[in-house]
Amino acid sequence: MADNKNNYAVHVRDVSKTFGVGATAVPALKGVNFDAREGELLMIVGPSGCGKTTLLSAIAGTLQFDTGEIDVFGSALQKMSKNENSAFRRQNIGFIFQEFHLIPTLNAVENVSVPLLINGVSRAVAERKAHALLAQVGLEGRGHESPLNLSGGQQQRVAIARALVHEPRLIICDEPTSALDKENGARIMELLRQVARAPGRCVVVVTHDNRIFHHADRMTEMEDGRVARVAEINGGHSSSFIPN
Amino acid sequence: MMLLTKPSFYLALAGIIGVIFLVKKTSQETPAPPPFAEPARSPFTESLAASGLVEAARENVKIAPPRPGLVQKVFAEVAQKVMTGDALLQIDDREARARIEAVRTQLGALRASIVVEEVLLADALDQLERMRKRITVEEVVVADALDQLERMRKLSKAEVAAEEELRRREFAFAKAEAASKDELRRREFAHRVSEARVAKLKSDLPVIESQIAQVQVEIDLLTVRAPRAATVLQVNVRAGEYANVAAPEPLMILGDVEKLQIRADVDEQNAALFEPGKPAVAFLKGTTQNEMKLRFVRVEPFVVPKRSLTGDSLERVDTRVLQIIYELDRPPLPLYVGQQVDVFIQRTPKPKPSTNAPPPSVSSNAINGTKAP
Amino acid sequence: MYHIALKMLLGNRSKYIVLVSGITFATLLMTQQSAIFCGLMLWTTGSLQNMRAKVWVTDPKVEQVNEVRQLRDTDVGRVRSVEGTAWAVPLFWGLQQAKLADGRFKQIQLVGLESATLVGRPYRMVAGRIEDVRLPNAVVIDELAIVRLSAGRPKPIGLGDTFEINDREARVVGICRTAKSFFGMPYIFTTYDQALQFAPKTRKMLSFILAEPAEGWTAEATAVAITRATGLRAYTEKNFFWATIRWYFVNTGIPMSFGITILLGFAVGVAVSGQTFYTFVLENLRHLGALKAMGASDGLLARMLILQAFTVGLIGYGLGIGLTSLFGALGLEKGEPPFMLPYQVPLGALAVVLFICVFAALLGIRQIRKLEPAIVFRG
Repeated sequence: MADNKNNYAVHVRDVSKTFGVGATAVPALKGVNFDAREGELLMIVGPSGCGKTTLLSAIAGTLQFDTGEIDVFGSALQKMSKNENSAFRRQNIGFIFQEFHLIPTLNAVENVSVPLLINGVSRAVAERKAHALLAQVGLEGRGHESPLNLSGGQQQRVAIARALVHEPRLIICDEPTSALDKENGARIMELLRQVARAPGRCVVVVTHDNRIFHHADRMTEMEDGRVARVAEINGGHSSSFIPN
Repeated sequence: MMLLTKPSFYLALAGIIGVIFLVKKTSQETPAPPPFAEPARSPFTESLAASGLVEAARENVKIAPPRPGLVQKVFAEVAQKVMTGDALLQIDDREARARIEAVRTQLGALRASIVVEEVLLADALDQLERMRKRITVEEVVVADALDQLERMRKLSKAEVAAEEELRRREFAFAKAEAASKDELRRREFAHRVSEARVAKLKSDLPVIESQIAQVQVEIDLLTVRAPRAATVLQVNVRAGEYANVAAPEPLMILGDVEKLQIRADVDEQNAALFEPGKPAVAFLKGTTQNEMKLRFVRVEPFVVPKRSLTGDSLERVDTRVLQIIYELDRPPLPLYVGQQVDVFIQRTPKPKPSTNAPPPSVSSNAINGTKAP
Repeated sequence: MYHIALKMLLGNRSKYIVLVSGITFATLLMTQQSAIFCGLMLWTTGSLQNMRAKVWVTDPKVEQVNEVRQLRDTDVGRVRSVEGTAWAVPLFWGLQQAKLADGRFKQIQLVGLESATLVGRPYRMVAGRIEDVRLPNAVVIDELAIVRLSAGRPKPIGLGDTFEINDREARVVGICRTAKSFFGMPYIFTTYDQALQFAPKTRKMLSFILAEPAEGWTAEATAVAITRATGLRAYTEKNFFWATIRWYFVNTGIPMSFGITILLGFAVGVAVSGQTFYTFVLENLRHLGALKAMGASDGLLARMLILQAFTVGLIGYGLGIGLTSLFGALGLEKGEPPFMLPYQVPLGALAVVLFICVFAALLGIRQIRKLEPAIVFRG
């Protein structure tokens, strides 16, 4: 198993996480095993409280898990210090949030340029790239508008542009369509599929919006802190067996 | 920078610039205005300062009247030079003059009576002489009668008639002789009386004459004269005023303004610092121009209460001053008796306190050392 | 990233205004009260500003310029005799009564200048000539006196007008500009000799001796020499200034009342600005969490917060100090209320404001350190 670890974009083994201590302790993840491959759009689905968001947080490196190991493109998250973790995130991971988390006092371009700026890229370069990315997501010429003046779909496209601008390998999406209508959700998912097709990239989407399930390459269903099953939806990728 | 688009940024900038200006403005220290006239500075490194008063070289003479009286005439004017004996002012002498006239009249009367008595005397003498002559004549007549008688005796002895005649004649002769002698004595007495009266009257003459002289002296006294050659510095009396002997201010002040002297007042607390004979300079109050070199004359041996030079006589100050007299030559600038001057008297430098024991090889250090508290 | 921080701050206009105005108000309160306090303290030394001399000689027990124990006339000579004194002149200063045209009385500060040198004379004449003060019964009044002594006159008192000082006629021959004094009484200048005539007779009349250090002597050294040689007390102008201020500091409640107001300003600054900034941070916590999730380090976020805090602080400080300056400039024009702005006041206020900023930023930074980036995935 260790020999083909490098083929996976994300490799999760026996990860468990418990919130709280003692009587109030709530186990969120109970030994999760899970893989995501390069070039695929993986969806994690499941009912509320199944631990899918916790899993996503752990993969994104924003949550410290108790046991197990997570490799993201060959880097072991559990071995990183807090600062290394931060640096890893800003270079390798793009985030798309449920509420978009665009900063309302910044215009679209500035919002998009933030990841580059965090990486220390100069403002001019960052904004040029941001403009280019906005054009790619179909918001050409609207870069100077405040997010508050954009529709939900447009806001999410801005968020996608932001998630892509620093060319991360792993894109983490948390309920990207829950705030959108069906049409806009479909468009966003189409966009994400295209993103996932880029070489050496992987998109992980957490959702319980069944309207978009068909956009996934594979789907991992979680139940009660464990991966219940993995389903191949589109594409020629074979499903991998994940022992329970 | 989006900050540059904010008015608050510019307002804040303006505020900071404003406060810088205001700080500069309020902390601006205006330099002290220079003294209007350069104050007196001592030319000596160490000196004793005193305030002084210009006086005439010999002390001023304050003229007073010999006796109270109305001032009739003032002869001298301020700043006039007077010689010894020049009349300065005239006290009313009319009464004295009246008296001298009366005595003079008396003298005239006396002289007249002397003349009268002398005439009487001459007459008495004349009568006496004539009496003597008559007696001589009568003696001659008697002698002739006696001679005739003798001869008759020789011619006719015992001629009774002749004898009777002779006796009658002899009797008449004796009677006449006695009368003449009596008359003569009377005349002689009258003459002597006359002589005595003349002598008495003559002896009265010098008495009256001395009276005249006395009144004359009185008149002379009422003319006040300069006791010495001097300049009239002040005249405080005008004709028609009444001059008192013990007047608060003198009628006139005479002084020698050719040679002036300065009376310097040194605070008694500084008296110990004074050394006689040290050079000194004076400046007219409040100036440094025209330094006047002073020569030490003497120290007034009696320390006196300070006389205020502010001109107010009511001021009482519990300070006494040592007065030092300096003489000076008349400087080119006008200098008046009574002017105030600032006096600086040189002082030998005190031996420095022994605290800075090392000899002042570095002079500036030594100076700084003494100044340190 | 820093312009992002600024945008986050400036983009929220109402928040920004509240933040800045808190600091503005605190700065205004602190600097303006300090300036009034300094101005008031400066007023206590009005005589020192109006009668200028490098060395002031007083009775040994005199602690400040507004109290007088008279010296003896001959003390001038004693001071002159001290090595290191170039010259020394007498000065009269005393509170006297002036009678106005309508019969009312006003207190004045009568100053007698040595008549030849006029040392201690006012610097700036508005009308007339100072040397005319040597004329009989002549006085030079200041501009405040025009206000105070004009009551009952058809037009304000001016050159050639007369009024009474202690029942003696005084004729105005000049008008000068003076610094305000703590007592709020006008300064009337005349010559020393005439001042003695105006003032009621007392045993000693000489108030101060003004002296000048000799060539090569500092004022300090001369003052020490005079004190040692005469037993009188010689102050340099600067020492007398601070001695006077110290006296008022120790002997009056002025510093206490102003100190409380200044502290209040400080407290308002800390409470309002610190708290507002803290809520600003809390409101932005979601976005800060997103940034932290995206890989922004705690250090970067802390620097952003510090930048925001200092921007608010400096803008607020600038506005506050600007308002103080405006207030001061208007006040200086009128001469009232007291106002003096030594550079320490704005610098001190700046330090306090920066402290408030650091305090506020630290509160925010503590929140950021505690912030789990994972919160962006919740709800």
